[in-house]
Amino acid sequence: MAKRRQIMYTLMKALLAVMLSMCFLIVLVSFVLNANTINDKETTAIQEMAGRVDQEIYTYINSMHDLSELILLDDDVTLFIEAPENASLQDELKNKLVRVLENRQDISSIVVLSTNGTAVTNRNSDLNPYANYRDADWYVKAINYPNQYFLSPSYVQNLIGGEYRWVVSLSRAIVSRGEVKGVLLIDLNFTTIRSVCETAGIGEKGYVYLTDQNGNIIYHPFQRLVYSNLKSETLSPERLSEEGGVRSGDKIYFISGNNEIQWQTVCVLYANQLWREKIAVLPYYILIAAVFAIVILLLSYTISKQITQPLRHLQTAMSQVERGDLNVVAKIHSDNEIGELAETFNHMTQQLNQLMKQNKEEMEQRRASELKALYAQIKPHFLYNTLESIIWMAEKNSQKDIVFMTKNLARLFRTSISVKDELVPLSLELENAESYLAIQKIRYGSKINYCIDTEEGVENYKVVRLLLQPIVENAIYHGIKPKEGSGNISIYAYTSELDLIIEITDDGVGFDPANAKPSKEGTGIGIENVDSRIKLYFGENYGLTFKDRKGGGVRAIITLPILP
Amino acid sequence: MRRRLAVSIAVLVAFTAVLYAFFSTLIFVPEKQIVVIGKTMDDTIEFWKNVKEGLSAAAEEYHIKYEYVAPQTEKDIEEQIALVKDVVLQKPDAIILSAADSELLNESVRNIQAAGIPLVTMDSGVDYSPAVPFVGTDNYNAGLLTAEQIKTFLEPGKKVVVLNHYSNAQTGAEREQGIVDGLGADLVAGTYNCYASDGEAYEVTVDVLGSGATEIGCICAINEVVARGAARAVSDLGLSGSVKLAVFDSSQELIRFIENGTVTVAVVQKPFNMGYLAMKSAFDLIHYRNIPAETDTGIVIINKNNLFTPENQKLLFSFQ
Repeated sequence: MAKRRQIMYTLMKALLAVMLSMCFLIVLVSFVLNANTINDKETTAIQEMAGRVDQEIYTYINSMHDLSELILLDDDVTLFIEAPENASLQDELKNKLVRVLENRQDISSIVVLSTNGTAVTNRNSDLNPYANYRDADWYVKAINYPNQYFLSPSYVQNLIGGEYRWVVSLSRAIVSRGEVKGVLLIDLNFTTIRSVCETAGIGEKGYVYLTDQNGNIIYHPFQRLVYSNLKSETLSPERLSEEGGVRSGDKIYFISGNNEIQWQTVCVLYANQLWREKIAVLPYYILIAAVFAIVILLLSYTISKQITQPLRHLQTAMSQVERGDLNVVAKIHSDNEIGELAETFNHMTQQLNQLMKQNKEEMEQRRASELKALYAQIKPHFLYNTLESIIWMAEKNSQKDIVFMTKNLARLFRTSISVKDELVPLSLELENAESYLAIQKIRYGSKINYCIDTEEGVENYKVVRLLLQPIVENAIYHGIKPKEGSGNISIYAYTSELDLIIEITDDGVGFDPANAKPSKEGTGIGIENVDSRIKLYFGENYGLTFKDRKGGGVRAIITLPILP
Repeated sequence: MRRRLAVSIAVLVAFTAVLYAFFSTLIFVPEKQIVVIGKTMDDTIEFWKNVKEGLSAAAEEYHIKYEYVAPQTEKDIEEQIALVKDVVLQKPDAIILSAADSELLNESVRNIQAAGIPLVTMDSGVDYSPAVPFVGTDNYNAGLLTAEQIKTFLEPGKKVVVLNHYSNAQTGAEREQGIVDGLGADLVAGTYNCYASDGEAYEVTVDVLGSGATEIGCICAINEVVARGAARAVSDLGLSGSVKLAVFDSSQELIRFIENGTVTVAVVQKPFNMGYLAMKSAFDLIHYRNIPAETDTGIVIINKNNLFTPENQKLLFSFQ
């Protein structure tokens, strides 16, 4: 039992060790590879995204530039700038601006400002009288560089009365007949810029912001936090020209710059966000590994069982054979060595079985032929002796004795020779012995006395036939015949525990059973034959023994099993 | 053998579950619940609007769910005390409190601490010692700086009237103390408690200036509400420029008063920062991190000339 387990466990352990370590190695390698590909893929993707956002912002600003062109070429603007104090022209222009900008959510205001201070806007409020616009960057630069347009950074526009809005503005000079007559101001709120930056999603925490070339923030998704100094970007302005992921602090910056508008688009990624994203997939890897491990466990169990099961079957079969059951067939159907082994084993048991059967048959045959030979031996021997006695009586002319003798001889033959069964009732055997004794008594007259007695109920017990006669014969020839005077023979049958005992006692001269048996020609055969027949039939525990009797003589004891 | 197999699988599954749970908690942080007990529900006050925006910004960043509760006006002390009681029963993960009264709220603070709820005071603290973490302006110092500003433009021989929003609130008491200490008692013509009402402030201003007392050279209104009352009164009286106005806080209205010269100097607090940092401190407290006993969010002195400097734009005008 222990050995079988060991094989199975050894197999399982080996399989588990190899398969599990391979499984974890594969999972680990794929995790690391995947983690790295996230990194590479994202780096490229984000760099591309920075470029895309930058392009969109540029396109947007460009469209504002186009809008400013359109406004400058408009007749109403030209008319107004020539006569800024004309109220009807002001109204006309105002109406036009309001109409044009009705659906523009991204434009905070448009102001057409004459150098003399009058202005037309698309808004209903008046200009803020305290607004110091003549010093403002957008105004100064537009006036000073009439051929260019000026794009401001983010600032609070206080030009419109009662409003303070964060805007980015595009301003340019209004030139009429070679003279700067005013400034056109387009203030953009951050609606479009914000949506462009926000739609570029970068991971969970990544974001996009815009700066000018000096690192001043134009738009930032956490602009208020940045303005409140609660957050800051650690990227220094001189690194704004770098590409492909600038690491600064805990963030990675991907920058794309545009020379035309001189703004930089910065995509920000948290360095630990990458790590977190990698970790985020880890539970799935663990799950996969666990599923693999369970499959491996089951697999190694099944495989090792598959290998050891036939061995176990074979072992069971073998131990059955060991216990003596030769009809065992090891039912193993496999093509490997174990299958071969099982086949060989089955073949072996089959052969063994056949051999045993053969052996048994042979033994039985031998016994039968032996018995036949024995009977063949008895018959002539006894017949000669009796016939000798009859001859002797005939010579004495004792007719009566001859009749008696012949009658008994007939009975003797009937009870012994004509009976075909090997086993006969004890009564028949006793009758047989009596017939024989009777014949001998006639022969020896008063020299022989006999008595036959049995325990109640033993008469019908089966015994081997021709059991008593040879012993009686032996007692007469070797016990009483050499003795001077008369002798007695007694036969007594009784049971002792599980055995049937038949005692044949004589008070003759006695004999040494060891050398007496073959002492006289023809006579010794009977006794030897009785013992071997009993043993042939019932085994070594039964048989014939001799004991010296007190006061001379021999006691022959036949031990037989009780066979009712 | 089968049982062993079953046991091994069970162990494996359990092990996986533990690993999974561990990494999941690393990734999915549960939302914390914080209740902010403010001083007023009045949403015309830009100061509190900005505080709330700061709270929201931090709450969003730290995945906090927060609720803002407050009495209708700053003078409803009893209502705030009752609110604290209710909130303590809710057992939030932390409480941020702006105490309407630094003395009367002591008991409430003690109750919050007894309930084991982390507490941060914001803008207005309590007198209770041991001190509760505080996020806000160093009001006494702000008062001193205000006094310093006033002295630069106060005409000789003129005096200052201080309009307090509520003298039992920590903000009111400390600012007033700072101003009085900075100016010296002889420069202070009087201090008035306006009970956080711009109407009251308006009337007090009209009373003080309308009585013909020419010795008053400066009105110092020490929060947004009384400042707007005072500014309106000075403007309506046509005294813009002749009677100087020093105020605390800013609003669009006050900025117009700065532009037109009615308000000479504004001591501007940083309500957005206050809200943001108070929320962050509460978050840190929940996670057993050390936070400073006092976080000074700072002030900026604003006048007509520096109103639109890039730095002050960022502070005064909220980027939406």
